[in-house]
Amino acid sequence: MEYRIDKDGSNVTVVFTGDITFSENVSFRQILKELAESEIQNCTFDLENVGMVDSAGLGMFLIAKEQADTSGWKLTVSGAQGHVASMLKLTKLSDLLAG
Amino acid sequence: MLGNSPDSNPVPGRNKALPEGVSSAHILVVDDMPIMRKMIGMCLERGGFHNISFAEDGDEALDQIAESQPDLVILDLNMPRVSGYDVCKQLRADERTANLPILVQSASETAEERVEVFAVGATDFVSKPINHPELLARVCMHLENRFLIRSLSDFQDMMQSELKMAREMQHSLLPEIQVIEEVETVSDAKIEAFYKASFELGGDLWGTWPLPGNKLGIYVLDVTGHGVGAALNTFSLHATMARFEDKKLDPAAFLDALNSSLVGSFQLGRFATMFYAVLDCQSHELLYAGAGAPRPIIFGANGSRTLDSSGLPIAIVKSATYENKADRLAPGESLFCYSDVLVEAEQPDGSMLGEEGLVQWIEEASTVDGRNVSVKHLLDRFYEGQDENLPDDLTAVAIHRNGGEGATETSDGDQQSKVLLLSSSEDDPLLNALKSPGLDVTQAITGDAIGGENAAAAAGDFAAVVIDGEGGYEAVNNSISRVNEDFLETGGTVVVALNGEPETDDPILSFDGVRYCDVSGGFDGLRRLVAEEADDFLRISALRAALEAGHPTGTVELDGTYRFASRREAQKLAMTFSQASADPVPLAIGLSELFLNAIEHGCLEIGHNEKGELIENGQLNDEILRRRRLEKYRSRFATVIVTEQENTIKFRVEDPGNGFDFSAYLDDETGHHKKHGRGISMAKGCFQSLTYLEKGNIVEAEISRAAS
Repeated sequence: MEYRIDKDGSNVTVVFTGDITFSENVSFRQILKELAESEIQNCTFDLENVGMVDSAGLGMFLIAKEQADTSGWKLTVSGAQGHVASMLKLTKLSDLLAG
Repeated sequence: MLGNSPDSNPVPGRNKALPEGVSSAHILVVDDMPIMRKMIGMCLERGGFHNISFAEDGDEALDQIAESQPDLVILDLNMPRVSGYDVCKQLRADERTANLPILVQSASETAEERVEVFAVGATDFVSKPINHPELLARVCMHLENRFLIRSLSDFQDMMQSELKMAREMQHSLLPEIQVIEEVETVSDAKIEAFYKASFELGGDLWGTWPLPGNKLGIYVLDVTGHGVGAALNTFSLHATMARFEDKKLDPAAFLDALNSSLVGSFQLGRFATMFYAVLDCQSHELLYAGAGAPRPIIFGANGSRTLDSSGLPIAIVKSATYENKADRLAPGESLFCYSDVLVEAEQPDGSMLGEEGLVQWIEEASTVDGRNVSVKHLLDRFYEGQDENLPDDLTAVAIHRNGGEGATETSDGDQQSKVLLLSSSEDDPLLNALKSPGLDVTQAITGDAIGGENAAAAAGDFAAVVIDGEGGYEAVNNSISRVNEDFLETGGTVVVALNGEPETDDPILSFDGVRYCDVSGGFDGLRRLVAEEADDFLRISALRAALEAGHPTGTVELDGTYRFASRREAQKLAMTFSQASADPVPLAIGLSELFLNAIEHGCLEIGHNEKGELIENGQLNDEILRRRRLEKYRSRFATVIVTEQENTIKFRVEDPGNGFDFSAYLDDETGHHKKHGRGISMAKGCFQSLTYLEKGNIVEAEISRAAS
């Protein structure tokens, strides 16, 4: 997994590329740390270029969601397709992280 | 002298005393020259070492080492008999001494010799004449490394054995063979299960249990994460399941209960996906609920279908609710549940199998010999392209129900259902399409005398009627008028097979017991619908017959899940259940109210105000019939789950609608004065208790078993 953080004022987009799985634990925490240090109102996880996400990856979204809720910003995911979209749908996390 | 504290600590770069393990380390000094042995010995003693032994040549060294292994060897290269090189080679060739630190001392300084020394396995090298502080520093370093590595590998061994223990504990949560056999007997099925915990410990589990009323429950779950943390969550989930015995007949309620108890007890970002199903072995109905587990697959002679197991995983949010869905697992069919690694693991070509790929494997294998594919076959194929050691636990469980005709001895419910097909011509494709192990199809041609006396004889036999909708409204209407009235009166269903959608300006059939089925995309859905309707009809008929025959209350088994879609079915069902009460009239009224609400407001989504207007304009019936023909509502039904308890009978009515704000209707005072919704307060008076649940699409009503 690789990621890029785009900032536009208080709107932040994290663009992910590759697979989001258990082994991405460390980089994901790095993202959360960077987000915690920014002034954010809205954050979008752009998943358009993500090929697959496993249950640990979904867990990381939930951790991000928790961080968003406690810090008072809004987290949405966008662009999920294929396996990622079906995982979000199967687990109904698409509703929880809906835009 | 060197060092900060020369008396006790002459080792360069150190200002602490040697750790206990290091200073008492056993060092073997091997040299053929006595003066060298003495010198090195003294140097070591001054450095704080006191467990030193000596050997005069290679042979003696090897003997001593074989007898008692030292922690480090200081070895001279040029010795008679066995040289230092040979000692090195022999020690390295023996597994027990392969990692023993060997510090070689030699007078030679050529680069080639140093290479040679390391090539035969020496750990380090000191040159002669020996520089004492250097020798001590190197000895200390190698001993400390050895002790560190030893304690690390001890720690690793300990962790390994604890992980192994955790894996064994996880295994011990799997259902016992006796339980599996009991379930197999109840369901006339074979259970085939595969479970492999990954080396790292995942959080998979599956289980099954027999339930009252000739039913069984089966679940698979996957707790996220790896290692002991995941395993502990699995244990806690397993223990929590045991607390909700009373919810095991109702999958959605069971998942609700697990979720509410476990939210907060899992670490953030950890959760469990799960699928739980209850199979009624008599009616073959499969009631299930999902919490984001991979979608299970049902397959058999008629192909395969996936079950909708979507739902929020367990232990994420408190407010999550789960939904019961119904399907059928008929004799001859198999239900296959699995954990995600099966479809997500990387295959040799780098892709993953995916659900589509798995379904394709199942279908390819099923067509080979006409039998249902085994879990073993699927896993053999899976492991062909996989490393034995997967990164996650793998669970795969199938329940294969024994084939249709062979299963008749267990109960009436397994017999073939007689179906009457009304066709406009003899070569109706529906005839072949309907033929299946569970259905015995009789064809009659429209226009033949099938009504009146001919059908009268068959009336008690047919469990469902299918009409080919090809002939259009007139022909269908005409056919219905020829169907035996007793059959229709007792809640029998007429399935109208449509090729596509009905013409919107076609008049709507005035008969309420019709279900429409679109067969333009294939006949699987029709076959299933007809089998389900026939089953429902036979069960209700049998129940009614038993109750009417005057069985005293309590001897007729009411427990079960019953479905209804039309108002006629609803009323027949309410009447039937009422016979089980010592005071049947209020129960019939109360249940009718709840059932009709479930159809009108739930299945057909007619709003309360809307219903009022329709009643005032005399259009309610037409609107109901119109909606039941629409694609959106056509396949919907409501269910009632009946549970007999010691002193009460509970009716849980569920519909697929959006629910309503029930609180406004429950107050006795205001309820009666509202223009609509009087039915609810009326129904309330008919039961011992009436509880609306969730968004109002579930209502539980209880009556006392004794005469009230």
